[in-house]
Amino acid sequence: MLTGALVIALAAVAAVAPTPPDAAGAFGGRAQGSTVELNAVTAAGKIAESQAVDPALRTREYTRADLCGTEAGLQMNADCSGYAATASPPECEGLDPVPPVWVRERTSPSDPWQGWSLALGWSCPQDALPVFTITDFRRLPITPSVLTIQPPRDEVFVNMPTIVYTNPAVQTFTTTLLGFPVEVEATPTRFTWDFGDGSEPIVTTSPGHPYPDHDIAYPYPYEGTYTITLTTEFTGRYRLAGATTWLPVVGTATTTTTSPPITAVEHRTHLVDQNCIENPDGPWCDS
Amino acid sequence: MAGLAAGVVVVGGLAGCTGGPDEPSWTPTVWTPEETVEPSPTPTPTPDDPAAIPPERPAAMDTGDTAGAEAFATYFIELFPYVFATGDVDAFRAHSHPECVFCTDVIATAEAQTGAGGHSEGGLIDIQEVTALEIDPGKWWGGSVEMVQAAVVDIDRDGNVVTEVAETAYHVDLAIVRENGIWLMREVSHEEKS
Repeated sequence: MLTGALVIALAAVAAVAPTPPDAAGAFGGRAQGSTVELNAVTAAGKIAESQAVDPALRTREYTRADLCGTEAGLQMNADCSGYAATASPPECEGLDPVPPVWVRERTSPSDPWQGWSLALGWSCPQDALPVFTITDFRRLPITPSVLTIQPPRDEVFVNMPTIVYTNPAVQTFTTTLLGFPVEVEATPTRFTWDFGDGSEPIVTTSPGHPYPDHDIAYPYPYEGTYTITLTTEFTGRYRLAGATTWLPVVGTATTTTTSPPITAVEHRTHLVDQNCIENPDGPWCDS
Repeated sequence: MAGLAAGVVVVGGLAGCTGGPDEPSWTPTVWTPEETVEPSPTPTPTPDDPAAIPPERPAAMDTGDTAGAEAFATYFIELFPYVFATGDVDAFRAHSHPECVFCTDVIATAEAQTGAGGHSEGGLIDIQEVTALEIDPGKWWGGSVEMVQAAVVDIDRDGNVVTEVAETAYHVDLAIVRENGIWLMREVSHEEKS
């Protein structure tokens, strides 16, 4: 959230005048990480961890509540003048901001609770959005690409191009990530075509196109029965449902599609003195 | 003695900036090092730059509570101008978490600057407000700092001012961790205040 705003602000400045080089010793000139997100994710993890413990046995408890917990009817003993408690909720790209987090502890389950203390100020739900990992991505039911072969028969000619192509549609999914609703997109970005005759597979970023605009084709040099295997590599991105900013999934997922067997046949030239109507048993006359 | 000689050049160059373009008002012969002075392993900063004085480590840092986290936040940020004035990154590095993007950049930038014979002057930080919130008691704090960094200049090995940045106010967010009784800065992010 903050980083995005900063980028926009910097871009606006850059459009007006060239940015002077940052001094080494200037605090603002140094690279920075996602501190707000780190803190929000840590708090979310700790809340989940404490909620996994039986309430009677907990020695630490977290809750989310607005200013000093008055709205939630909690008796917070904390000083409400703290910066985060009084800071107004942030702008969260149209999503509802998340109220501050409070924590209290007790020495043992038989001891009384100590007072609540503020653990995290107002935050945005996307700050604490856990990472959608490549394992999560690969678990999605991504539909394998549909492999189309031209000519559309189970028999092709040796030394004539066998054309292949697929539909490069982006697939979208709605799923949950540790309770957060997220949207995920899987985009096919790399295609590996194995023609099954031991030749080196062809790797393309193009999904191929049908005749006559075809760009991926292979002439089988020898007769035989082959299956064509298409391996599609998908890259992913995700966002909290309703948010505007997409986040990349690190890594790729693959699907494979195998064609039914096709037979490459050799058609030799024959000199004939009768056509197939006159002689249905002649060479290459389908009888 | 190479470090001391470099110090002479730096001071001479600076004086030249304030005097006439052709006649430096200051001559290196006035300055005579004592025989017993040990050469510093790092480039010698301008002796009277307050940023070259290491900040005092607060005693409150000894306790692993919120007051300790706030004391550490103050100390760590105050180390910043010292690092660039002296090239001495030891204390800063000792309190930097290995995954801290900001910390890694500071150390790399300071080492590159020192390696090229340069340093920074000024840039002292005035911390106006520091707040830490204990997210994971005893282990992880979120910090929030309002601060102003004084004007800072980068000086190259020949004593020339390379870059200048005017006084700037920042809001700084911190992620502070305590591991095995040692305070570590997990991450720092900053926003310039208008």
